[in-house]
Amino acid sequence: MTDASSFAGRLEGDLVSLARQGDLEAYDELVKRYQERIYATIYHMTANHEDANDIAQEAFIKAYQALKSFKGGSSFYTWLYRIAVNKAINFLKQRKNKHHYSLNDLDFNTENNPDLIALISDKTPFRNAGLTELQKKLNEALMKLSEPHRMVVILHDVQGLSHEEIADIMDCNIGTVRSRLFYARQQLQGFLAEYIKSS
Amino acid sequence: MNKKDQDFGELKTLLKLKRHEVPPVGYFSNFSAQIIAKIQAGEADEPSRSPKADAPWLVRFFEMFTARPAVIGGLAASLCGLLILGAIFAEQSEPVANNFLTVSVPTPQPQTSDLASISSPALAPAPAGIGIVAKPTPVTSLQPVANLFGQPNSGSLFQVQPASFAPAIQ
Repeated sequence: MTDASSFAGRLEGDLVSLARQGDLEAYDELVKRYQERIYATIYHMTANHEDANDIAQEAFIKAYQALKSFKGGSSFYTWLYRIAVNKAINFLKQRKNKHHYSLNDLDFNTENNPDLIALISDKTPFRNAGLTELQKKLNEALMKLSEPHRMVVILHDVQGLSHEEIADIMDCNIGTVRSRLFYARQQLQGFLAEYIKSS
Repeated sequence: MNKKDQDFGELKTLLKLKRHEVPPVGYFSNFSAQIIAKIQAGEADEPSRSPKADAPWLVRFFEMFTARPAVIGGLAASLCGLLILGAIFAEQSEPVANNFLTVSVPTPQPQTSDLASISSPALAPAPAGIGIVAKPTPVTSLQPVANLFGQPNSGSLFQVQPASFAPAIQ
């Protein structure tokens, strides 16, 4: 029996090889490495904690079952993201734009973020809105976007992925990613005009 | 305002708010364990599914019907169609069959004088003018007879008639 802690420092490729052979402890380590990012991506897409929990778990289980088909052409991380993104988009299509919000709380660091504080300070025009109200309005605006546009904004502006990584995950070219990102931002700017100074 | 002029600075800042939305404290501490448990449960289920695959074909056949009610509907409809076609085909082919089967072939009467040719004691010749002589007429007849409903039974090919034991008239 391998000690679970011995997997902590292992390379991703080694863990994937072991997991492909049925080593669940190796896969457990892979889950731990990516659980927060995968969960967050799905949560931002659905704006619902319970749905995000279910879809993230399904994505990790599906990835384990499909590990034998993973050729290694892209990184495991990108491949896993692709599974999660497809799961989230399929889920949202089935739900047909009926949004049930179940938003997570903002962490205590929010109030210490100077950029965000600047957004709600009295010096700026919009804005007597508190952070919680802003959070709600932002989520509502995001949910008005189509799934591919929302996904691009979340992966780029929230998760911080590069255009190339997003193109790989969404199986499209970089030009498509850029145009979707521009269009999505423009849409959001319109939806949130009340809260954002015009550039 | 063109693409390059629009930097969406404030929007990007606003979107950073999303990074501060976090699940309840301790949520991830058990997350991977739940996934591994589900994977193990799924693997444990697989052997229990295999006997189902070895189940008798009739069981699997009925299970298929349970799963797909449309299949049983289609199958039942095609069976009914086959039955109707069979009945129509039988109706059309009966006259030919009757004509063919009602051709009577004269059976040669055995010569009572030729005793050597009669092997059965039941067919032994009676004294002249008296006695019972078995007629070699076949017991079955192809002639139509009235059925239970009083109509000639054209449907059946064979009817049984009582054997004739009338006194032979020489």
